[in-house]
Amino acid sequence: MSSVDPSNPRRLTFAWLALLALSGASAFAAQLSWPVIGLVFVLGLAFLKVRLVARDFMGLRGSNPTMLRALLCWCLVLALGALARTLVVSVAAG
Amino acid sequence: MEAATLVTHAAEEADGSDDFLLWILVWSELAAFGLLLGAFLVAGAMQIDQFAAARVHLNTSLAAINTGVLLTSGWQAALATSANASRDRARWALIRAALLGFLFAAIKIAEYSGEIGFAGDDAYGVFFELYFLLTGFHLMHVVFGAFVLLVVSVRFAPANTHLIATLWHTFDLIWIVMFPIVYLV
Repeated sequence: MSSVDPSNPRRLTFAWLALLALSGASAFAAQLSWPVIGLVFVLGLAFLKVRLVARDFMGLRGSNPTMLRALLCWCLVLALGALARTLVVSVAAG
Repeated sequence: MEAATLVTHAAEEADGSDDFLLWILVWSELAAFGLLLGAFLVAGAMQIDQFAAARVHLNTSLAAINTGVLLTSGWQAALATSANASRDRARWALIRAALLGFLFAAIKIAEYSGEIGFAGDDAYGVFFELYFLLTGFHLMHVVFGAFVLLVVSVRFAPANTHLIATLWHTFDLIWIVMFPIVYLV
């Protein structure tokens, strides 16, 4: 079973606290006055959150690295799409 | 088939090492939401002004609170699958995860009440149609998943817990990516 590391409810709690901290940082980054830079930060933080959930909560750390990489690729493709969309908007706005 | 082979297969199944169908289910969800989010991004690039005007009416604070609620629920679901959790602890962790899922739904519905009036307004293009489709589809998954978490807490089995917890984390992942794309991009 690709269950969570048996010895580590503490690791799960640490991952949860890290996720909440990253969410707080994300709210802060969204307020930045440079939209593209703020967006890069927000998407980077979302990527880190996906990595934490997949590695620690889903228990893919070590047990299924291929699936972990695939999940990160899914997130990366959408993040790059979002970034491309923002660049298009910025260019259109001049 | 040899008896020893049958025993090995049964042990593998009990161990849950064959997660092939589970991952097919997970990827069907990720593909569906990925396509919807892609459509949202493309529409946003084509209707720049309408999307910018519409986004002003979203309640980002409630959505941010919901992120914390769903992550906390995911943490409880993960604790339920932790191998050193006792049966009772795992069941209560599943119940807490489900209740937080219902709290997520209640907050989302409260958020909708302030936004539903903008749906169908031409000034916002297709923003609200796509917004309600995306977030509503996700909300349906969360509500269904929360019910299943409750059912599994009653009919407890480690394999079932592993299955629903993995799906629940998938809904977490989808929300983590959906939140910046819908509310912030």
